[in-house]
Amino acid sequence: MHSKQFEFLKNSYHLSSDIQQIIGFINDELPSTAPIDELLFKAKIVVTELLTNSLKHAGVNSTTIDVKISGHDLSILKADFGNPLSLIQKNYPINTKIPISNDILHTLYAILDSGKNINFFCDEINMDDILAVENIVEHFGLLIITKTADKFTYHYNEQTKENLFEITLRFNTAAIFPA
Amino acid sequence: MIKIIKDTENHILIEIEVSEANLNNSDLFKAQVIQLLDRHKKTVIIDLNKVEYIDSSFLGALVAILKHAIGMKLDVILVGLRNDVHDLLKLIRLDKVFKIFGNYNDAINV
Repeated sequence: MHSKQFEFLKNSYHLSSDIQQIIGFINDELPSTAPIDELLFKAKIVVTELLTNSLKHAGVNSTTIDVKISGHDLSILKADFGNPLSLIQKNYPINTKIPISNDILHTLYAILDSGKNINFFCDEINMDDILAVENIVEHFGLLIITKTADKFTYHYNEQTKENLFEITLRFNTAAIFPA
Repeated sequence: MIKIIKDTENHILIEIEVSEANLNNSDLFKAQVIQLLDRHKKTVIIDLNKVEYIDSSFLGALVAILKHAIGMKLDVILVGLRNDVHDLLKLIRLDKVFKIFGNYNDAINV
């Protein structure tokens, strides 16, 4: 297991170089048998959206990103103390798909589990009506991460007021060495 | 942020002059292109050949520009996309709503 923590202060963000720091570490530590180009592309998407989310939303003064690389998983965990996602303040039933955004291309769902984690999923919609472009949402951050990740979970710690976004990208090096 | 490359009777070709199209420049980009649409009332062809990476904020700006253009019965066409940028548009299916061509000549010869 290889891991490293990166900390970013809001007033000193340099988006491109901050992202590059993390991607550089991932590039150095991924096993050589992993699909490196694909994982670096996905990791860059995820890290960009996580840091952009921190920059956009009120109350975030610092953000930490923990990267962990095991033999099969690349895990990216973002923590900050900004305002929680509004989803957390609603009393959704457990293990039920709740649509949180919907347009002619996708429906994005949140599912609350018994551990108070919110897991994100999305469905693609058959698009017949090109005239409905007017209805396309203009906020793609959660959707991009959901479609890039193998697992995307959000957790709000009510005691510490900490937001935790955990993204897992799975890879299978075993395919290189079939049994 | 943007440079006008060509202004014809039917369309304007502009180029995005940054390599990282992100939160830092998406609002300015949106304002500049919408101003262009309002002033010239022509289809806008956007050349992204210099853009190495694009984030959700900039994609949101592109969609807002497209909506504005459609409201004026105009169009927004994207050309010169690098693979990573094109792959990200395809991931969230924006390739279904934008007209995308390899280059400017391909776009005008349709």
